[in-house]
Amino acid sequence: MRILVVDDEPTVRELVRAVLDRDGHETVGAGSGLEALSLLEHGTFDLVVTDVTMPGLDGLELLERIRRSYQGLPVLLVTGGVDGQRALAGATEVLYKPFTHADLRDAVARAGAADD
Amino acid sequence: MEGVESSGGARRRAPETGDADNAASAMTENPDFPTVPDLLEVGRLAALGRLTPGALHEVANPLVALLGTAELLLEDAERGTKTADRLQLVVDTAREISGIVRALQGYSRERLAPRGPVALERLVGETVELVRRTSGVRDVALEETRSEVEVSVDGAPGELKQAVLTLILNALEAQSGGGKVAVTTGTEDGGAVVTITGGRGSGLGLDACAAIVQGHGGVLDETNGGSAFVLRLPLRRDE
Repeated sequence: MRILVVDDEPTVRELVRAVLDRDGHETVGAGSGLEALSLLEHGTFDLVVTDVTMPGLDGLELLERIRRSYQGLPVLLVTGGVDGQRALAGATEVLYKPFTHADLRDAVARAGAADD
Repeated sequence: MEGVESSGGARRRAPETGDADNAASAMTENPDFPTVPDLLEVGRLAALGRLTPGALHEVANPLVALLGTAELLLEDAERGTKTADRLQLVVDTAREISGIVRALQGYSRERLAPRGPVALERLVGETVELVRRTSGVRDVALEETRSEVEVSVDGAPGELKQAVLTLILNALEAQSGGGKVAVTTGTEDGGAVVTITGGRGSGLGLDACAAIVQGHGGVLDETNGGSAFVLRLPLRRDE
């Protein structure tokens, strides 16, 4: 899959990319919600993996924009917060931090297989 | 739940809310009302509780980096070498810490879960697991006996978990220095029952616990001077 990985924390973003690259996916990184929107405008992706808490355009706003403009594109929300299910309801899948490689791989597989 | 007899003990009710003068007078005359040091302790714990979700969030990112990097290095390390063994230790330890963080996050998230059908024996089991992971109590045996059949009630999972957690933590406090806390879930007289034996400890949070149970149409019984608490709830009616 071609996967857009969005996180303002470079360590986490690059780690997620490293794990997914090892599994044969092609990943592109974005450090903010706005950068992610710009990349979406100029490229095609099969999945967006985005952190929820980011300065500026956060993961929930990014999800809303994707739902409006890129119908059918699955979104995996990653959060270390204590948001309730209702706040995260629009996501294809939710992954809670801290996670293991296995948790990440399972969540990506489920989100990629979902029919949004 | 009317007609359920308390087994040789007292039924605990949430305090009535009245006018301020009466409440103030009741507080000075009634030994059951909290003292100023009690209220200060409650305030201190409430502040800690408000800080906790943010702290968990701040801990989660470094843990992802620590655990994820260690897992990557372990994948690359040659099996059977000292390096691999040491990395495995780092991974195992980071997973253990992650488990504690996730358990606390789960409890915090549950407060937002909507009211609905709740499998009480599962909720009690999760609460016991949360306490085992996070309480740090090593010298008290925490034993759980779970109903083999589903005990389904209607309720707010976060509130019910708070009530059970309060009773278990108080019992652990009462047994500190060695002893046993027993948690049993089952049915009795057509209702759901959770019994927590061990003691009342400081009694912190008991009024809130009683209010939660009452709000779910149930009762909280305190038996033999607080040696056990029995939480009784109506079973969920089939629709």
